[in-house]
Amino acid sequence: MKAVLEVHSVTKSFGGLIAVNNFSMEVREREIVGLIGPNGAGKTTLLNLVTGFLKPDKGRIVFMGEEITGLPPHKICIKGVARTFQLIKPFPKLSILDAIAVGALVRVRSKVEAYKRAHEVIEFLGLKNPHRLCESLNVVEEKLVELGRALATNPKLLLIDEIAAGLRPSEVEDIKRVIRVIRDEYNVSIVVVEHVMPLVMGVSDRIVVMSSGSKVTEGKPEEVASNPKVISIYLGERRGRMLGVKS
Amino acid sequence: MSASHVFLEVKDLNVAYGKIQVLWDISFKVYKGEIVALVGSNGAGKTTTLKTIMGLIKPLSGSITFEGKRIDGRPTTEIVRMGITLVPEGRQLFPELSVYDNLLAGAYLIKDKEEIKRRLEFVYKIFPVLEERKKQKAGTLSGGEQQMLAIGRALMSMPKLLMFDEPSLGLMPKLVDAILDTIASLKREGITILLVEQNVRAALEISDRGYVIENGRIILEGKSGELLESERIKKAYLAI
Repeated sequence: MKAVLEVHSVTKSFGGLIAVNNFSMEVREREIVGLIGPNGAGKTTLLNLVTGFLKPDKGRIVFMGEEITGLPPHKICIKGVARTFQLIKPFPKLSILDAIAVGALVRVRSKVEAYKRAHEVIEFLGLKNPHRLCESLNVVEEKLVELGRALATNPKLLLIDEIAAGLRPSEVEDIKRVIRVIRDEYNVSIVVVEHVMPLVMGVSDRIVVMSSGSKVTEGKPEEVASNPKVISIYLGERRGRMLGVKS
Repeated sequence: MSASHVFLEVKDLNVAYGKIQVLWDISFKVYKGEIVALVGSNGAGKTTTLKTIMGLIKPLSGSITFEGKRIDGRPTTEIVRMGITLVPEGRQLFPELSVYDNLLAGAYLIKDKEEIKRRLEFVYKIFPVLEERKKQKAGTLSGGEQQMLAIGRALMSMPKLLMFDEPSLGLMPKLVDAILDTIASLKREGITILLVEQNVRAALEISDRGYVIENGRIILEGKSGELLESERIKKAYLAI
């Protein structure tokens, strides 16, 4: 399978803190890759590097065979990379339709075309009553609009940053289905950055584990979940000795 | 243990930040004299639980009872006065104040000067380094010393229930051990402890019982030793 995204030995520091350290990964065509790791592992920084919000200090980022390292976000978006944000970025005073059409305007010139595309996405996501203002939506609808705006840009690669935060288990299952259907219907590759394990372990073809800016391991979800290094990252190390406090 | 020994009881607690509900029907108990670990991954709702117990966040519904009295909805100062103190995540010291003044700040509800002196002696006995450095600015202490000061400041309020939010965060492994040893020793001083920790294994090793919280819900509970050996805890974290 062809690589859609290649991250080659990318490093990014903030002052003395190395947020992403000589990190490499790739995402293949129609693949869903889960990117997991504890807080501060560098996951969101990596998304910011791929989407051009940040420039790497070192390393190369290649999208569909073309180097995109250091390009501004809008150019990277036009090339076919879209993202959603962990802290969703809604347009509260726009309707669902307008908010999603904004995404489509990256791709098409006319408003008519943009609305047509927005309607398709809205129907695909099953959002009801698209003239409602974004400020009036519930949490799930807000997340769907966030996804819809990204989808409307017609991406080849969709980066989803912690979409499951704050959702109930049944809603997480719904989002899981939506992500799969997006991959199947839109033929996009997807990177899911996620703390909610039932989502990321359930939806991903492959998992990349990041800790302190570096890659710990990668593999199928069940391989990664049984890796002792990964378990230690999540559960901590056992102490060398037992204390005499437990009776 | 009988119900009369229940020290802290959190029952059916629901908490939301705006539209996002973060705690769902959280229920747990802490018995007098226990160390109870509340563990879970990032964003699970651990800190929110502690803040709600402290009265810093108002719950949507549910109750919090301490020594048989409802404390939910009470102001934080009153909750501290009743005997609950939090050692917050990131320590939250006053970096420009001396070690001594930071400790005194922990005793602001205590008016009796003699009592304050006794508390200081108690803290200095546990952490001799704080006495050696009492005139030094808190911000100039090492990470481990700052954590000791944060614990010392909490002890100045004479807590019956001491709650820790991620005490090992950002400390090197040797200091993590020292801090956890200290927490275990506080139990021997008769203080009941609710410990929120990211290092699940270490937290379960020093605690009597544990609760695993995931996405705002308690998904697993039991004796710490049993949880530690259980495959279910791995599944709780990694979903596989």
